[in-house]
Amino acid sequence: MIRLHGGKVYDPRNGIDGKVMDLYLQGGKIVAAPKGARAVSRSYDLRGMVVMPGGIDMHTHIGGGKNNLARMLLPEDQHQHQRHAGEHTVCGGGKVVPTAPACGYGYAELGYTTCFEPAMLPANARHVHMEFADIPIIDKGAYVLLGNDDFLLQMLARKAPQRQVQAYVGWAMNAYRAQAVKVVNPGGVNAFKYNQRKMDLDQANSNYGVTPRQILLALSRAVKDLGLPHPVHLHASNLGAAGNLATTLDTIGAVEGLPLHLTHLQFHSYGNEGKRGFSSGAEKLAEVINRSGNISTDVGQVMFGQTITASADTMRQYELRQHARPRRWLSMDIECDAGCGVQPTMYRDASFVHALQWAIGLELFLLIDDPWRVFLSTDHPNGAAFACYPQLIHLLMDSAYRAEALKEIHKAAPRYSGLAQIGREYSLYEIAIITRAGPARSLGLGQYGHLGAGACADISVYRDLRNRTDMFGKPAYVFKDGELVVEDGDVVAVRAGKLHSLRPGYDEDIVKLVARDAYARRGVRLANHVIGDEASQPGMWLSGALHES
Amino acid sequence: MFIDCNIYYGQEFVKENALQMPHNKNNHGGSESVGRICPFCALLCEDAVGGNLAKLPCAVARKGYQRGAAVAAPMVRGEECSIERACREAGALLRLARRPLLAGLDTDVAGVRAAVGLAQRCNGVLDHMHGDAMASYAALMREARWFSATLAELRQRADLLLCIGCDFDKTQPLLLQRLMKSGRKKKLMLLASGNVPAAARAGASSVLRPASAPSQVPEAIDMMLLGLKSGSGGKRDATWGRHVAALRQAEYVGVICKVSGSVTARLAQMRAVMGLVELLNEKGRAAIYSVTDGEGAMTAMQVGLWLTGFPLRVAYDNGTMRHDPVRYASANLLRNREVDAMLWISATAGAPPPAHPGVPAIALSRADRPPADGVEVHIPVATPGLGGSGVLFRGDSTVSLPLKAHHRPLGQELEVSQALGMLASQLEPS
Repeated sequence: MIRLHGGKVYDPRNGIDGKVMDLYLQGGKIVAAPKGARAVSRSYDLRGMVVMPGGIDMHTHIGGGKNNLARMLLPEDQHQHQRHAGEHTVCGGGKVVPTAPACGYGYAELGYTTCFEPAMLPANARHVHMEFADIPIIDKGAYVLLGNDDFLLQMLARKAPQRQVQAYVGWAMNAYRAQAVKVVNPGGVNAFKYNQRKMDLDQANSNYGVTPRQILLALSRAVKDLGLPHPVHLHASNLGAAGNLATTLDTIGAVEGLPLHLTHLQFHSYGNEGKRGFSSGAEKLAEVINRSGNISTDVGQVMFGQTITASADTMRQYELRQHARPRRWLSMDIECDAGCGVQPTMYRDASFVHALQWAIGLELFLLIDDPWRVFLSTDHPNGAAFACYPQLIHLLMDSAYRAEALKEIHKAAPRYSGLAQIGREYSLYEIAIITRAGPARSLGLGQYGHLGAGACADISVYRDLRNRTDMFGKPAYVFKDGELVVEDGDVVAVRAGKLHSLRPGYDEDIVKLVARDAYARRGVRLANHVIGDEASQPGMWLSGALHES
Repeated sequence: MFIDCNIYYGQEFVKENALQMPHNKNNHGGSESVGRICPFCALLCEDAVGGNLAKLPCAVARKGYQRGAAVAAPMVRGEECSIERACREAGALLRLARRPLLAGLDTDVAGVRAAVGLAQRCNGVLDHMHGDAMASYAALMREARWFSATLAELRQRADLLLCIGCDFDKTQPLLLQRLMKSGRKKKLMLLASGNVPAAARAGASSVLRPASAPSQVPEAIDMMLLGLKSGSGGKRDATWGRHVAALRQAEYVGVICKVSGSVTARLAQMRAVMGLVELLNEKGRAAIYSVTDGEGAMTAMQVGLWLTGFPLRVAYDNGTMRHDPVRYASANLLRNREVDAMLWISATAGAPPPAHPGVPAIALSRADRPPADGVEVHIPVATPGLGGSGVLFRGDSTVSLPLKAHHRPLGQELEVSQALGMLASQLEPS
């Protein structure tokens, strides 16, 4: 049994706010204090340190074909951020799109222990799972991408009963081993294949006659009726367009009070005021979210520097392609499921638009009152690489630091955002909510994101430094399933991590329909399409070829 | 309503908790009769083989499935031996080498993973037998106008297929048939694209052939670009006018291409094709389907990208890594004697290694093909989908499919990943 002694514990799920207490770990779990001291085999002195559950990133692009396309498009990222092999680690690299091993190390070294890939295309699901197997240490999970697939659109076009939609979603969760359902630009990615270039909430797909509103509503109902804990994880229509605030507000109304998660909200919070026709809509949006208890969100914060955007939203990526830096982009239409658009982006503080995007993201964090409904994300790597999280936390916790940063950005940008007027500072307790307890609750991860007895012993320990970038950039200790995996910011042990997935019950009559469709449309029998155990074989760094067992 | 399931890699662990209700015990369609997947080109067709080999509709599959004389015995310098001895000898060769080349890489996902792991341990260089084509593919993707589409997408969406290239019917023989099989009725427009199978032709609403020889392709593309740009559709030439009009009227043009010639010529042609597709996308929709090589090229590229960050041609050196698409080409390394050993893998094609004068070679080769001449160690390996299982990526890069073993081992052959594991265990200091 391991004892973590004397740390200041932040465990919002159990209402613990900085209380100095001991934690005990055994068999990968957190357990109650033992009767005698003899049971403790190892004790860590954490006096003065901050103890939190392991971080949970509920929206980070860490697996699948788009990442490989991104690696291909931006080899500079690999060349510039090479990581040498260590005693426990293999070499690899990349900051913006790290290799699978580097991704696991990088997250663990920030105190994160669980990550969710939010855009798993059915046709690419096996790839996602195989890449997951090569990401060490952390737990993984994925959201299956629906809502642009011809099968669903056809079903809606012929006005199939809602129970059939529900059965399909239930089947897809099982077949692709998913944790939640993602929808990207509902119907829009499909419409782009029929040469539609824009999609508003009530605009019909020219081929199927189905609107984004219908798709969103049908999927939201299905997810709710299946009993999935996380609502539809929505990348809304009109991403990145000036004035898209109106679409986002309409979208909130469209779900008729059903639960909805709006992802990377920053990219959907733009007004069109001022001489540049681009302004912050964060205040208005936050106000609506504050009174809409059915809405949760993650921000998709932009941070300055080189990154790359990779998205299933080919319609919007194509429209925005002229902004690519360096000037490269590609677009793929994929297997009657969706698509993929990839382009590098250099966010610059001297750019009016980028500076305003940065400010809008922070405004959303600071203006949404309930930390249980807003989660920390940069939409890695679309807004910034996950390596920027410590700095982002610093910006949220320290208004003086934020004021300094505001001085550095494009001079006109602050005029179109209310950021300078906001004095709110996040507490450690609130940080623990938006990076741990909140995502765990939203995703239904009962044994994660908290430190009560019975919880999985995923724990991060930080030195309580005034400089929060330094503090969150280098944990003193990270435990995964009760084992010490990071010490002083470096990986000291490697393990496999788990896959999280949910398997809802569904009406099995749907299997005949999806089987017929898979064979007719994909030319693949369902037995070969559905993900099997071949996708979760041990990864490279676990194989005998690399480490002796 | 649901069960919360944690899967540990390599074994499954289903957690019971109070939230759980009855869930579906079936395997979601995984139990229906399995279509056998053919590993012999990048198209990974199902049902490529029935009982009778001669009746297979595909020449590449016929050749691939043809069982050779079962020479399944491992060999060291031409003498049969146990698999343990072969791996011991191969391990010793790698241990002594300062800079071994791990090439061919014609294997499945697990095989590529194991090869990457092994390369890190022995300061190896990784390259695939189609490394030149992979390097060109990567370079083209960085040119800011790559529109592509996958197989089912084109089948469903395209109403015109522009087929460019002389021999893709030899590379992926059933491609056109599969594209024409269902979905929209399609026109075929052929630029030097060799034989079009009757089955594909029969499905077409019309067939146009603007160019018939490879040498005419660049000019034909130029004419199309010109026609599309001018808007007048090449009025001076009624034939071209008709072709351009067909392109313009199409709602979704699928460009199926396999270019040929020198690297420079291929890049130039692909750039022209990409320009054409970019232009078509301004007013309508179009996408490229690049007819890629088989022999696990896409598998090696995808796994290589997620494990190394690069489309292979990666060299490891005491815990560091470098990528160079020219310097680390197998042919260059062997010619310049920059490597002092070669590990060659060809599990599906059983292809012999390239000439390697003065460089000792280990070959992991398809079990029923004769061992290559001049290799120090021959280790027979199972082919995914024949004697072994494994996952392969289809040539359009998104789809990967599981292949299952369909006959028992012929002799002592192992799957590539197992053989590499045994070999790696020899690298440990004793």
